[in-house]
Amino acid sequence: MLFNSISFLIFFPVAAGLYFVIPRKLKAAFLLIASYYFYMCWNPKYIVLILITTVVTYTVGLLMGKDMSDKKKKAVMGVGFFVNFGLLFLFKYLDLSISIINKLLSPLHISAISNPFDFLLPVGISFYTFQAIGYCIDIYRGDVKPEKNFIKYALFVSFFPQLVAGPIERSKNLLSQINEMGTKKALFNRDSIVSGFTMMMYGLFMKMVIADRVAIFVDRIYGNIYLVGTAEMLLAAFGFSIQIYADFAGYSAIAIGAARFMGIDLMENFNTPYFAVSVADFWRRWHVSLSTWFRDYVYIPLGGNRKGTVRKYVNLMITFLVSGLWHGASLSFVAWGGIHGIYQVVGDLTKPLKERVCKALGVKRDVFSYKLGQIICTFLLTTFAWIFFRAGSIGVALTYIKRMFTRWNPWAFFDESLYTWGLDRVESLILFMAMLVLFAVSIVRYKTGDDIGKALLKQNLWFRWAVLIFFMITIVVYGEYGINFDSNKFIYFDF
Amino acid sequence: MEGTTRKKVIQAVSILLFLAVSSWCLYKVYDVLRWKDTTGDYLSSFEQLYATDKDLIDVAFVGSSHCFCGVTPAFLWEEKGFSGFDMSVSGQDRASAYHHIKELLKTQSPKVVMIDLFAVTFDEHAEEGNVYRNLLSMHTSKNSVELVKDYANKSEWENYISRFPIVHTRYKELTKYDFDLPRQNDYGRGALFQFKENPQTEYVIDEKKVKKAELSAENKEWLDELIKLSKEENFEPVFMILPMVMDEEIRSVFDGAVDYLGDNGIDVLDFNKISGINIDYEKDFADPTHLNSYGSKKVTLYLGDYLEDNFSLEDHRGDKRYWQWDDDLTWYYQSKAAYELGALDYYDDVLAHVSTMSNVLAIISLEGIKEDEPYDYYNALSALGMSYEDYLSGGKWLYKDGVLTKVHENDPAEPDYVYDINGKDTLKIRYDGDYLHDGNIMLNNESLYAHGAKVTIAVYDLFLQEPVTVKGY
Repeated sequence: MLFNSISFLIFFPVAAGLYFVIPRKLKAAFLLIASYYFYMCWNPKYIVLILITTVVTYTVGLLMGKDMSDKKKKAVMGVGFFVNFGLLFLFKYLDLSISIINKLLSPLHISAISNPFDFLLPVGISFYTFQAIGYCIDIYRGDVKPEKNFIKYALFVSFFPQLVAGPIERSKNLLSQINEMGTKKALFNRDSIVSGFTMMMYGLFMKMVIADRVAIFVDRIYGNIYLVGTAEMLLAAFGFSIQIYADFAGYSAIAIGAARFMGIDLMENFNTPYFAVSVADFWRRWHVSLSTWFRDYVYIPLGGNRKGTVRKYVNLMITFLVSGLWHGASLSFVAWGGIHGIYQVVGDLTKPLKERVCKALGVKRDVFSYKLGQIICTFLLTTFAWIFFRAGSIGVALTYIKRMFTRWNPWAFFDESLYTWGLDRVESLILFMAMLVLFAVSIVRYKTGDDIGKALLKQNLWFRWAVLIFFMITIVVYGEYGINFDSNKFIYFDF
Repeated sequence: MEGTTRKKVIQAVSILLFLAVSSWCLYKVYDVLRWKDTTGDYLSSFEQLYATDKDLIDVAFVGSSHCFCGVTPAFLWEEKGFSGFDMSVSGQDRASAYHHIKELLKTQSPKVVMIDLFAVTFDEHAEEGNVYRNLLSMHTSKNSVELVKDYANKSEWENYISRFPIVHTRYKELTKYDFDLPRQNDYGRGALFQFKENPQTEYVIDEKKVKKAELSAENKEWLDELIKLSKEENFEPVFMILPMVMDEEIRSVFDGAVDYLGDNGIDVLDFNKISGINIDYEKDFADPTHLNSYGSKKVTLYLGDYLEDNFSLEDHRGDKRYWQWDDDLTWYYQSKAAYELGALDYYDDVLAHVSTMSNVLAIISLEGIKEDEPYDYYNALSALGMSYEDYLSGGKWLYKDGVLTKVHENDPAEPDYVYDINGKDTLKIRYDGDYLHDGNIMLNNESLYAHGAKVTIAVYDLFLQEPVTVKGY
């Protein structure tokens, strides 16, 4: 069940409405049933995987909560890791592993092996697996106590707003709120409803009006890289930066909004990432729940920056390569992660040089223009890296980059031929206007720190209504959906 | 009331109010974007049905474009005073026909429902547009949902039922008629008037080649359901096959339906076999499967006699409640006169025709006329009341209700003449120095000037509320 489907339009009000009216003691159980129903709308069979992950990590949590030696704890933890990462490997990485092995075997004239399984990637497996593993590590570290109530724990793993594409929640945040569901604090609250609804509308706007509209152009260009020149390829590269942001941040806004509507605060996932002043800053703002997960559960356990400069860079590279692999079973994702790792290593290494150059040239560093330059440079670097993310293979990405810099055709900006790649003049104008709205909302977020849901709550009623009705009408009229439209899946559902 | 409770009540009310306001806004947006028939000048049987007061329709004609081209309620009204209505939609399929009748029966109690059998010749629409016409023209109700379930694939139900997924992309094709429906929808009776004669070659059916085929189970079920509905709703069903050029294959399907209905004691009026109607294949067709208004008149008059002979229908002429049938007839004659005017080429013929038309406003412009003109433009104008001096001096005239009035001299210094014809259309007349300026006669933002002509004759129909022709000489 997609967030931008009529099924969800019916499901969510019914689920939220019932959630408000049922007795407090039954709220968690009800949300669990609703979440399982939500998930089973994709493929009922794969609910078994969530159940396995839930039962295993619940048991691991309970066992580690008992008084036992570190060795035993590690063994229990190891079992939890093995089962969960094993499932993830089986469903997501087996194909890639076999193809790599076959490539290695090929020069030795050993016959290729085939995948004994032919599984479809279960929706959201990377997200809920990481969330459940994070819970186990928190208990292992003693940061949280094991949850004894199975229903509440199962809801933590499968809470429907964030089940299939995050935010990847921390047990400290979400479990404590699930435990408070029965209290007065979590009852019907107008501010939560208004704020949550606003977030959902804004998320749908980002996804349906912007992301899916840019996707039409981007897909056409990436599908015809031998027919286009620099102008189209540059625009498609920038377009994909916008598309993936509007798509994933849009999804996150809907998820956060749906949860907030029911009185549950999920962690933020995006904080104006394209206003970042460095790649490191970008990762503090992009997919925050995942990047902090890798920081807390991979980078720091590897030693972080505590074991010398070389180890720090090695740890950074490992973290980003794994992060790339998390996004997809393809070497192009690994390359994308690697590029971001290299950006950070090179950025750190050249920092003294950059400071010296600025000093020598008298560059003012506390002015808007300096910051704007940093933002532009960071945006260009991330846009370049996205090419690997979008291309599907390293070969295609390299071809794309080569042609983008060698097939110079500036006349395409003036002869209107750009309008022949899926977005005509009207569609381009709609996209431009929608991006102005996105920019305005981002400015508010950047300046005030409030997401649109919270920012709008501070405004007068007429303005709130006007903004909400604007989003509703824009979505239903200019949203990309309906008959003959099939690119409405959220990109991150594939991860 | 305690403060907290009061606050909660205010909050709940504000949420409810927001839901009401936003729903109203979305409804208004939907009303603009909703499916409207764009092949028949935005005219729709459903719009016309919904504009009709309760219990006025005596006889409904149900079917596809064959029906709205082949049966014209205006003729039935003119000849017999029976209040007929074409409940017909392009390509109306079996399921749509059934549910369209149910929709009509919500507000009307026709004594007779005459159903075109063309729907038995196909299972699915060949054109997507016809699916939209049939499934999206009705107001949303239990009946429209049932129609979607009966016709569409399950995977498409939510699109057809909620409609927005289909119609929202119309923002790229909106016209003024999406905001302001043509006024014919207020009084039209479902028929399409066509005056073009498109000669056809009659295909003589070789009866030996007509294979006797049993009617399909789907067709039998459809006919059974219609008969059942007629008993439940107390109307007389009459089936008909309207004139069309057909081959043996189609003929055999129709014959199967005729036989099946005959077995059930129900007659079928097959206009391809009824003698005495005298359908003229040279003059009575708009295309191979559709009659024009001349052919339609023959069929409708026959139906009028049939209805008179077999049912006791009342003559409603003179009853003010039936004003839509009067206007429909006026519309027919205005449309016919406009078509005939448009088809005329010669200057004298055009002016002679204009002088016979009622409910029109003609704008006549003369520019650069000399005494020794090789063609005598004056003769026809004098018949309208123009003096020879005026003729030679040129200028612009309005001709309305038999009166010719000069409204503008050929003088660039003279202020523009502006005339609000009605609440929507404004005429602006000026003189820009010669006959090469389209701005000399403007209707709103549209030029009614024959660029480069010495004489311009533009005619605006006051009943139809639209310009019908611009001629230049």
